Amino acid sequence: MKRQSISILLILLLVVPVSASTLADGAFDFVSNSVDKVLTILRDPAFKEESTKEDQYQRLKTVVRTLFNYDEISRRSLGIKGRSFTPEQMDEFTGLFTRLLEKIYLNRVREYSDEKVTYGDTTMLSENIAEVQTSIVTASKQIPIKYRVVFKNQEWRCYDVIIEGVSLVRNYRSQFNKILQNKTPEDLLQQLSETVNKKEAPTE
Amino acid sequence: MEKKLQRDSKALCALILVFSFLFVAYESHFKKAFAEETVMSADAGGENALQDEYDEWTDDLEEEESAPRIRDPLERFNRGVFAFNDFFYFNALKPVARGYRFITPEPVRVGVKNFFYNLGFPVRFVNDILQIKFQKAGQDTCQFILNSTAGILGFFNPARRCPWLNQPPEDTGQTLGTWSIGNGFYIVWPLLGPSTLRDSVGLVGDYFLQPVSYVRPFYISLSARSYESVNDTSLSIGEYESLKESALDPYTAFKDAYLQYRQKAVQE
Repeated sequence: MKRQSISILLILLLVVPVSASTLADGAFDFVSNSVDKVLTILRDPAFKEESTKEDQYQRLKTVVRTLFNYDEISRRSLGIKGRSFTPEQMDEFTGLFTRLLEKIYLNRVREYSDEKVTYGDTTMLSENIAEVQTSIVTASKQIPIKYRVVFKNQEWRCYDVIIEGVSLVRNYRSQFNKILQNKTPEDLLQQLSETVNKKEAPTE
Repeated sequence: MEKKLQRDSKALCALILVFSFLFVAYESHFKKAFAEETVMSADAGGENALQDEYDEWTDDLEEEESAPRIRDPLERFNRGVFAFNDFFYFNALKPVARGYRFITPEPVRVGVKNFFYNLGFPVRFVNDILQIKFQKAGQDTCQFILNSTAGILGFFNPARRCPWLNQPPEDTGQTLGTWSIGNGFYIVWPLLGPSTLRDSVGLVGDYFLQPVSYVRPFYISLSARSYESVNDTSLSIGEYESLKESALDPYTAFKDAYLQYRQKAVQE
């Protein structure tokens, strides 16, 4: 009996730190693999021509879909105000918001011109949430980007991106809260779809 | 000349006095009102409690970093200034910065940026000391000496190779923040952009600590600043545009981004 309890203790002692570190490693691997995949597609000389841009866009989209959990991002961006949404409205919201985020992320990423991406520490924020630090190094500065990832349903998914200390989810939450202060969920959906379908002005 | 300098500093002292008066008045007047509002508003303290119920696995995270909140009594005025700044960016600053970018190679522009950063050393050093961060004061001093000598007056950045020397810069607004002075309320200044009452007082402090401010006559000092801002813009064209385009309500998006950014800067 005593022996058994000692061996259980030993196993626990061995297993606990190991599993914690492998979890952090898992989070790091997940983020670095996804980012590397995106970079590979961006650097691929086969996509240099204008005619292959659409193909590149689609392939980026597939990678990005496995990186982010859009349901989670949508839910968290609405916060407590999401309670006044009907399930149908919530679905519509998630669909529109996903399209908006994809558009932003992919447009941003396509301005890429061979900047270096470096990886920093991975910290566990709770038992299944980790924060992976990365940064983009350009000629004139270094932009810190943190990926917040959660381990759910046996897989890692990103639920927030923090660029130079600014959380994407919190930034959208402040906007949605502001709009919902004196408007209905219907109005918000309307405004969201206008933003998604807005024709892009060239950034240059 | 001497007289003029005296007059200048008198005017600035008066400005500081006005600011501190505003600040004190704000603190005593609005604190109570703000407290009431916080209780009533659904997305302040109550949110965390409800959030726990709604979503157990995020509870500790939400609590740990409750979003920065701020009063915005000047919202109508601020939105006007925001629209003006937006107009100014697209019709004056950006075209000038693009022209400048066209005729100036990138390494030169990066060098100019480095030069101005290096010149701002007194701001960082004094605020390190005021925040009792002596190690950081030492690191910033080493960076300054290295870049001023080996980096030829700061145009090059050899300190970049030693990550230990590259600390996030401190300014007076952050110092006030570490002394637990709250943000006050949100202000958008013409040309200077988003700020808060506290950070505006900080800007006055930074003004006195920047060597460029002591260049006379004043229009040379002003030109140097304008040039710095054009140079910075030339290196970041597209950033303002993409943040604006991804927003449903650009005013709120920039306000929140500014507050989050400053909150992080104060914590560092």
